[in-house]
Amino acid sequence: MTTSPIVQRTFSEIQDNPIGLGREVAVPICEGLNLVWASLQGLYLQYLKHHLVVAGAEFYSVHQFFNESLQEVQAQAHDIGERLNGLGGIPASGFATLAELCCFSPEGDDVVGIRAMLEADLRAEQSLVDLLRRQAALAESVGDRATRYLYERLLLKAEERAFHVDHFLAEDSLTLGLPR
Amino acid sequence: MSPTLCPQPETAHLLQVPRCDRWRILYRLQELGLICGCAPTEHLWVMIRTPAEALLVHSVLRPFTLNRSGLVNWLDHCWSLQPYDPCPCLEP
Repeated sequence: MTTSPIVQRTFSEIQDNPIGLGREVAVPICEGLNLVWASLQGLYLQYLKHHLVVAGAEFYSVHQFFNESLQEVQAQAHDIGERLNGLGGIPASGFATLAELCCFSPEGDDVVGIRAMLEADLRAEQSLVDLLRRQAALAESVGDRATRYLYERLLLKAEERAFHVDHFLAEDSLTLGLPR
Repeated sequence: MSPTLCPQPETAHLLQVPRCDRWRILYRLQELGLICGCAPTEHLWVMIRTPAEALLVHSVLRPFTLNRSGLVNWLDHCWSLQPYDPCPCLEP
């Protein structure tokens, strides 16, 4: 006979933290950290899928770019998760909750062309950039300077990835006859 | 208990706002003296008791719910408004 494990803390419960941020600060900050955490998880899975399924003449460079991006996003999710846990929150892990919190609609399960993949990634990065700017403003307004600093570090990297994705999508080529 | 986390009164209005913005909206409503609050992972609620409070809530929500072009259109509209005269019949 199996028994249900004893729940020590529910997902919505924020426990005290050791760095002197009161609940009036930790509750909104933890909510925002979970939005960013879920969005990074969604972006990680999308880059990973694209890394695995991409094919075609430009395969290798795009395959490598997807790999670098997914590793960067994974490291960022780790930093956000550490901060969220430190402040007394719980990083979401159920797929339904992650989908509810993610700031963009991930690409479907089908395989699409390289350009459509990159367009989906650009939309996701743009949504993430928007979310990070809003959450950095929130962290600043409640006096949580370290979380604001963390968000701004992530923001710089997310904007760099968006630039790179956008450059892949540029209508230019050294190959004669292709559109400029 | 912080007013931010206090339970929602039965007569409060629930506001449907973007989840990532609800705390900043809450703080602005609090600055304006409105009774409002959020519960973790739930909605934003506010007490609206007078037309003036309804107008305040509307004006706070507008920047968070309109996109940039919507805000530009609204600003252009404001520039073209005529000055308000509460008693036009008293003019000579």
